[in-house]
Amino acid sequence: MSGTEGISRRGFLKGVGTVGALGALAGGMTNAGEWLSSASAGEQPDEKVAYLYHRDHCGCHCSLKCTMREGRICLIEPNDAYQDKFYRHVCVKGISEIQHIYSDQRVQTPMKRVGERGEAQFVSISWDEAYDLLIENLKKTWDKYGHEAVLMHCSSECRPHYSLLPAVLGASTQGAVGIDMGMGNGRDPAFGPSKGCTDAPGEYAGLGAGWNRPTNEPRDLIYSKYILLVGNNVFHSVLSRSSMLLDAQEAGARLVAVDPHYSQVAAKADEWVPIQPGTDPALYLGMASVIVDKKLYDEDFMKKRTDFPFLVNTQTGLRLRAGEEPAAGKTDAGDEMVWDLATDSLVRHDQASDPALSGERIIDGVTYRTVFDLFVENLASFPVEKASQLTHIPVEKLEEIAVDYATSGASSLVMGYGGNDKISNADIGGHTLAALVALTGMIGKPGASVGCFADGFHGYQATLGSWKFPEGVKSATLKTKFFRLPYEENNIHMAIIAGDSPMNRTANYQMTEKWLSGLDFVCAIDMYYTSYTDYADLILPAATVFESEGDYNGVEAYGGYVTLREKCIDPLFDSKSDFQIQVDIAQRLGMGDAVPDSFEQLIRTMLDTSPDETIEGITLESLVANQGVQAQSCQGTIRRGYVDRFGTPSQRLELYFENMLPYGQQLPVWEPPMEAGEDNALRKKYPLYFATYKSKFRIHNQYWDSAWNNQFESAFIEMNQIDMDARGLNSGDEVRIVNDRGEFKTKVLHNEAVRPGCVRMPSGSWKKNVDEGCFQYMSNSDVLERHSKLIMGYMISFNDTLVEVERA
Amino acid sequence: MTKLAIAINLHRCTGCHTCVNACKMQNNVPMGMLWNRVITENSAVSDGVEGTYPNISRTTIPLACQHCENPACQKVCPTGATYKDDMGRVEIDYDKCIGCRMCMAACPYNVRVFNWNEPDRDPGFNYGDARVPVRSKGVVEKCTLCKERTDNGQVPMCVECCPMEARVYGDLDDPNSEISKLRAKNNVRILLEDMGTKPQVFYLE
Amino acid sequence: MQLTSKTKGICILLGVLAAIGVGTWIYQLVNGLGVTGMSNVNSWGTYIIMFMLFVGLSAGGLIVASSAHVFNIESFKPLALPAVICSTVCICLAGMFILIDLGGIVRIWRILTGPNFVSPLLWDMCVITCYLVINILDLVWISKGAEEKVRKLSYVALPVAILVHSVTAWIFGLQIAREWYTAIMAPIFVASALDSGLALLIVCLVALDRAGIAEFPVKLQNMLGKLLATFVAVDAFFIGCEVLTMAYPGAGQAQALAIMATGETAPFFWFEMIGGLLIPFLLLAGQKRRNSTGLVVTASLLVVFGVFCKRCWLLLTSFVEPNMYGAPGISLGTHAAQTGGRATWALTGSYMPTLPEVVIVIGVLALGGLAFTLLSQYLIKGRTQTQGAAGEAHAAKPAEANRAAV
Ligand SMILES: Nc1nc2c(c(=O)[nH]1)N[C@H]1C(S)=C(S)[C@@H](COP(=O)(O)OP(=O)(O)OC[C@H]3O[C@@H](n4cnc5c(=O)[nH]c(N)nc54)[C@H](O)[C@@H]3O)O[C@H]1N2
Ligand SMILES: Nc1nc2c(c(=O)[nH]1)N[C@H]1C(S)=C(S)[C@@H](COP(=O)(O)OP(=O)(O)OC[C@H]3O[C@@H](n4cnc5c(=O)[nH]c(N)nc54)[C@H](O)[C@@H]3O)O[C@H]1N2
Ligand code: SF4
Ligand code: SF4
Ligand code: SF4
Ligand code: SF4
Ligand code: SF4
Ligand SMILES: [Mo]
Repeated sequence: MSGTEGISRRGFLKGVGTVGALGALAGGMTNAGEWLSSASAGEQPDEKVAYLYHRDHCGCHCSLKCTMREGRICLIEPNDAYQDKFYRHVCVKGISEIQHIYSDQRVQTPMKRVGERGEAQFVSISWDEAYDLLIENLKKTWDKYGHEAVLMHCSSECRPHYSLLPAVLGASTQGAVGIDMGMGNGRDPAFGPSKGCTDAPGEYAGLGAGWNRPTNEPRDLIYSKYILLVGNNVFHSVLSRSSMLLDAQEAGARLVAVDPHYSQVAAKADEWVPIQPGTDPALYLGMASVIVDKKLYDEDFMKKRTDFPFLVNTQTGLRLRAGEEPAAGKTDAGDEMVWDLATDSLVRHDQASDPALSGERIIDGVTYRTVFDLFVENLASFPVEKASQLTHIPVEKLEEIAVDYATSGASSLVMGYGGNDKISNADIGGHTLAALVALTGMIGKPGASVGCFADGFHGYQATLGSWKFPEGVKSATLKTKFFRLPYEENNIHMAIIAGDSPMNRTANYQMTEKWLSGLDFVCAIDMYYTSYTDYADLILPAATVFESEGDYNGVEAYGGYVTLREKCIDPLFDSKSDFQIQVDIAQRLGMGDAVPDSFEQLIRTMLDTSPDETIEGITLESLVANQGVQAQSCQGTIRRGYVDRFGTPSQRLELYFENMLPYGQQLPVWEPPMEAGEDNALRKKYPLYFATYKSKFRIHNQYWDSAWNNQFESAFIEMNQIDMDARGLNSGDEVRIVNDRGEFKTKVLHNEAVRPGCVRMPSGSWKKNVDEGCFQYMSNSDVLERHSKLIMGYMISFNDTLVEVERA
Repeated sequence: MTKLAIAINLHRCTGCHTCVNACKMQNNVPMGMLWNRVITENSAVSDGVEGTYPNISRTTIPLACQHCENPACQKVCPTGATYKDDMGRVEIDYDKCIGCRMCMAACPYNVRVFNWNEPDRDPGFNYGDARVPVRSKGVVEKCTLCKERTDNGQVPMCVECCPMEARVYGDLDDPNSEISKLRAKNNVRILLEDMGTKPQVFYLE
Repeated sequence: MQLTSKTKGICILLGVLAAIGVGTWIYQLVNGLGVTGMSNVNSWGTYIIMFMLFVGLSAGGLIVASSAHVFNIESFKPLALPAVICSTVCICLAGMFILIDLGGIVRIWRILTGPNFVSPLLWDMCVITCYLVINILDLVWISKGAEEKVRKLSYVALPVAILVHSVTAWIFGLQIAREWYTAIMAPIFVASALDSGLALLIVCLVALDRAGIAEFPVKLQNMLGKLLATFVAVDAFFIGCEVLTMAYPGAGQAQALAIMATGETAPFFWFEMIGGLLIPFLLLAGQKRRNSTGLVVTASLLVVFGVFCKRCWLLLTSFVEPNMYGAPGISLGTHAAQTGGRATWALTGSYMPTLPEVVIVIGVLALGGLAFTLLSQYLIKGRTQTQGAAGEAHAAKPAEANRAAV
């Protein structure tokens, strides 16, 4: 093998393989080896080092030290600039970039469609031709339907990269997304935005916005005595930040994991409690029942910091407010009334020194009851036995969990986005989580928090400045949710899509494929040939974050640090960085002045115009001098949210949702999953619950072409022996996974970690990773009207899905 | 004397495979073989379990050369290509290896790998630490305890990269080292202790 | 001396096969041992099986020849020359198999410059070299008729022959990592060397007789057959001891036994037990049956093949179950493994020789056949012809004449 020489046999073979696989004309396709040698031209033979933050969407944002030799990345290590080992991490995926960025699935040059949509037949074209084609179609669409008819949509991973193009094009761009907000939809309205509700100067964006974000940051976990982990697998899903959980355990916390399957979190916890999928709200309601029955609640907290004493009109269901007759939908709340026992009178809630938690009052002939009384009454119809029956968790175990949670002194509820968050009743679960906090006061103190850690490390997050566009240059808000586009009337006729969001972020993917096929023009901007690129008319080859034209490739604020992305290597093949693509398009539209001319200029703007005091003095120069990482000034204190007040109008935890009155969910009431419920008649036809989870080797559809990671995992489904026996299946058999929405084909493996009655599979595999079809054909795209009235709107119930498995 | 070793805390190890790729990268290990791998003990599927649902358990064991104090591989090597060095590491001098694979038969842990073919690298260049020698076909290789790093006072790459901080590297002959203290604890697990190879790598349960 | 056209034909055929073998070996040198069916989990295969077999086969000859002198068994003396030829050729083949199995043969001189004296492989290479030298000396001295030297050499040759098998056995038997780890390994090796070696010798002697090169009287055939039956019994006894020791505790080793008895290597195990020990023993046990050349040759071939099977199960069983079992298993390092994905791994060992391996083995066997044919032509036939000329003529067709009496 040529070793350090440029051309490699494998590289050559791979280039050929790509052309073959695409069925494309050889045109401009070239083997990796040739590109590699051109990349190395001009470099010194000695090594150089650069620092960059890696991924966004695993939530870990690791800053990595990359060593380059002869223009190629040859070593990737954690950035040793971090003093605290907790941040000095890398994972299996980060290291796999050594191979992955040179993968044979890279889009090497701009590609133009020649076959039918979906056939993946492309020819290589030049960048000039590509831009001409794009702009020609933009103009056509603008002329016919206006600027808003163009959609500029990104996967989460590259959304931060596309801060310029939507404005330049005046395109419609994404609003809320319907993902990872299942529980937040029900919990966050009760807490309200967290601004100013923490005990340190640093803020954390998004707490209270609907994401069920953890109220304390993970560094706080070591103060917990009891940690209940429900439906998350943070050892996969926040791989590089999950060590904190082990630290907490070593510090004496008891870890209890509730998961239908024996996840890695279940394996590491002190105890694993298996649960029937889709019944998490019943678990929480059962816990609340026990806490109420055993009077384990914190009356002081309930009186001072929750809406439990608020009086509710028993006829209208509305809360009694000061001064006026309360009206439905009234929003200038905050002046709710309570009965003060100290004075035995009706007073505004913040005036009462001893608000009554219970008791019926008749005021002006109208009967009022406290929120707490209604809550207790509500729970009476949901005794712990009912919870046990639904969750399949024994009554004693449920009681033990509730007692431990309420009485351990400092307890944390750690949720996930994967399990019940993607089931239609998730908002009810989230709402009940808020109730558990309201009862116990387990919030805002060391070791007491609630929320989902699964997508990040949720420390402080400084606010960076943003680029100021000239007057009139701005994007439009997409009126329909992205994942509803295949189902709702809309005016989108052309789409520019960066990242495989169409496959990842919409359920029932065959419908999305139909929608894509019906558009006038689809431009994909991606590094890899994934699933949606099959439907593109034009694919622009994006460079990875390791590659750029200029010296810098980004700056971000995350987890208490500001971090820099330095350039490692030139863009490989004929790719361009996301930044350059945006600037090129702007220039061709004669809008070059509206955008920065280098990433460096953008970075300086973001740092220099930041309104955040906690990052004062951090400049591009200081970042470079500090290996690309600098802490926020507040980083010395652990971030805790809702320390002495909530972000609601009353500044109390508001459990009572007036806007849910039409759905009977003003207080949380059990509701089975819309499809995966145990009693659903559809189970006769499709008896198996289809659970997708996050693989430690992938981030959604990313890394499915990683040769290093593919050694360890394939896109196979896993089942319990009971279900395999019932179908006469053996490990390694080829199977068909079917439901009314579609089917796909792959192999089945026996894994006793999977709950009987379930099929489990890592989420995100590409179509080419399975033998036929796509895993996302199966998932449920139905929506509930109730959700549209919550802060995050509709959710996608990916996991609320039933299937059958048969031998292929 | 120096007796370098690695301790792996099995409770902290989540089987994340970072050390597997870290080792592959650092040591330019070609496709088709690994110096360090993670097995799910007594399971036919990765991240599987022992037992029947719901009475199940899982142990993930990172497995590389155990740098045995009584190395079976070294004894049988006819040319002395495999040797125990003065830092307590078991090393291979690739120039002396005749590819007889006696050592592979002798090692109870199946941690030695052989270059059956011309090494095939993906990506097709020599990645990793420039100080690591490139091996040719016909020689045996295995974990060197990151000789090129540990010779220069750096910790092994797998230790540097383990995101769970499950790996501890140090000198067992230094009674004050963290690793010596860990070894002194009584919850130490030695793999295949009855083989008498006396591994220096050990596991904490 | 002239070769008959039939012999010539055979020689050409063998030569061609040997040449193909050499060509394939060069192909293996260029492409690496990846052209074989071996892998990191099953790291030894056919070559080592053949090595074990041929070390054993070479024993019979030398032991018979040496015993003739050491124990002064007069009737064995005429057999000495063919026996030693057989033995020499076999030990050469054994050595070749070792060399063919090396991945880095170009560095083989490293054994000389840096020998590791605790390595059983090094001991083996030493004893095999000694053994080869003894064989060659024996060959030269016997053909020269240097009786006294041959007699003295025999006192050395006999223990060395035993040693060669013991040391070869220790290559395996001293490995605590594997199921081979048992004290009885050396006796088993010696026993199977005795029976397979003698069996091969009997076959060769019959062949030489048929080819009119050397006489092999029925009486002698009967005697050797009886001896063979005894050796087979001894071999069976040792194996019995080993199997019982494996089975009785019902622990660790019982797993290996299960692999042998019902698993991957069961066909080899059972063939050996029945076809390689029981049947030949029954065939050879009858005094009368031993007079039938057909039966004796059949029994002998069965014994040789039985021992081959034994080498297979002995070697391969140990590679099936890794000591540290768990998914994804062991990275194979093979061509297929280099393509990545699941092909990288095997949970348990399996092995199937590839075409190049088989061709190389056939080539080596052909080379052995060629060497044996030519050596016996030149050394025996040449000698008897000279002797014949001196007036001590053998019957023109000794074999037929002899056989007719049966
Ligand atoms: N490596 C990696 N990390 C990632 C990502 C990735 O793709 N790869 N994605 C990131 C993103 S965007 C997200 S949203 C997070 C998600 O992170 P997690 O929420 O941790 O992810 P999942 O693996 O989807 O699901 C967690 C667990 O829920 C369990 N589960 C399934 N159904 C149920 C149920 O009904 N009830 C309960 N209690 N449990 C159930 C599953 O068995 C699984 O163990 O991960 C982030 N981190
Ligand atoms: N059935 C099922 N579906 C699910 C889930 C599930 O559990 N089950 N999980 C859901 C969840 S939680 C989420 S958050 C979504 C995530 O879905 P996405 O937001 O779409 O996922 P990402 O991993 O952020 O983005 C991956 C895409 O971005 C591209 N990309 C990566 N880096 C760059 C870059 O630098 N430039 C450009 N131009 N492109 C880049 C990749 O090639 C890839 O196509 O998936 C959801 N889908
Ligand atoms: S956890 Fe892994 S993928 Fe995520 S940023 Fe860190 S190294 Fe990258
Ligand atoms: S990197 Fe650490 S936690 Fe991950 S598998 Fe290796 S030893 Fe275990
Ligand atoms: S683990 Fe195996 S290769 Fe490593 S020293 Fe011990 S016997 Fe040798
Ligand atoms: S293969 Fe190499 S290292 Fe192993 S025993 Fe043979 S010569 Fe020694
Ligand atoms: S010490 Fe070095 S060579 Fe050994 S497993 Fe760790 S990274 Fe690999
Ligand atoms: Mo997500």
